[in-house]
Amino acid sequence: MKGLGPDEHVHKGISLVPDGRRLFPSMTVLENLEMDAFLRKDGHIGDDREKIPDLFPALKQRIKQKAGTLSTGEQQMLTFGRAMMQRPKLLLADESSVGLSPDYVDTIFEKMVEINKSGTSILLIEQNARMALEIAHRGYVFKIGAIFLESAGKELLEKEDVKKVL
Amino acid sequence: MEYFLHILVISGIYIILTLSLNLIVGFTGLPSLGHMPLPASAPMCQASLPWIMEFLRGLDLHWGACIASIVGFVSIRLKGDYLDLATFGLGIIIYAASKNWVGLTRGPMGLPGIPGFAIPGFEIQPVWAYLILVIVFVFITTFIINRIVNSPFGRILKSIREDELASLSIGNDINKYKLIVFVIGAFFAGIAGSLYAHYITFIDPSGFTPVESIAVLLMVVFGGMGSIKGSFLGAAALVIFPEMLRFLGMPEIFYFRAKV
Repeated sequence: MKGLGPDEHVHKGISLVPDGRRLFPSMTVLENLEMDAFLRKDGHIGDDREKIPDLFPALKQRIKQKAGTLSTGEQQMLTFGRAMMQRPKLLLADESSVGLSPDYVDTIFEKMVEINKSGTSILLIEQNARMALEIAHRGYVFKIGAIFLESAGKELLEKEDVKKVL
Repeated sequence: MEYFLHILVISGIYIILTLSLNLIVGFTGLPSLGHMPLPASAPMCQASLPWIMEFLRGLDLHWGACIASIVGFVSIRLKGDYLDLATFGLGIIIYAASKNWVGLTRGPMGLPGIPGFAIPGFEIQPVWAYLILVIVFVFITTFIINRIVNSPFGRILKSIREDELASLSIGNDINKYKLIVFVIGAFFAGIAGSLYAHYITFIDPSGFTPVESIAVLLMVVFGGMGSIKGSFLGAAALVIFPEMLRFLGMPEIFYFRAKV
């Protein structure tokens, strides 16, 4: 990854769900989804345009609405939907539960499991460490910029050092 | 009658100029305060460098684009207010250079004797004929810019305006797009400048001051950023209304567009 520009990462199949949502507020939900498909050269964009809103039923009813008028949780789902439009091999999700209601946090985590099961790897950076470790296959704990602990997600939850901070 | 036609010609030229700036400021969201050197550069380079024009007659309109790629290249990494200042500064530099580099532009003496516009076999002499020519160019410009902003490329431009970081995160090389849009805008600004120079048959740097750049930006904002209809309205209104004040004997500052 080193030495590549942000746009080149996307070409290589790594998509980002950025921190703080970062949608295009004055475009509609559908337009936001379409924006991400620009780089794709295959002919299945139309299929995904149908499929992605199915993954997020809340978005489906609001497909023609301006993205800026959605609630925070819905916007977060749209960022996931948008990143999925690129059919990434790896999805980077940065602080996806920040600022969401507990309900939406649950939904987002459910969706992440769903996306993962459908064959996309996810690298999740989370402040909600307990929930993140529960769903993660593998967990890494960082301390001052270096990997401090590394193990399967649920095992990590049992470790003394982790329990202390949670 | 001639006078009214003249005002319409000037309006038309300003509509092209406003559209070109609207593409940069309104649709892509890059605040640019240094637009005026772009239309000036086209006729100035053409008129002052006849020996080049012997070879490059067809490239008349592209001088603006050349300058814009330099301006764009220098300022592309700046954002918001800093881009404002950088483009404004570059505008002043180019203005000062064109005013003082007598060898190139004859400075404040200006460049007289620019030939009128001529289609082979037909000299466009009367004002009404020139008005038709300008209207044709306005239509061409509107058509092309309309196509640009409604294309996928235009969607990317809007995404840069909405949120640069998000646009980057979905894989757009935004610096490339910014540079392209600067050059396209400058190209149309060059058309406006050439139309103006061939119409008046004389140009000097005093018509292309940094204050004029702000006047064009004013037209964009007045008509509505990111609106093609608005560019028509803004440019026409701000050329025609100040013209009316001329008969009230107002100080010149009220009709900044009172040239000629």
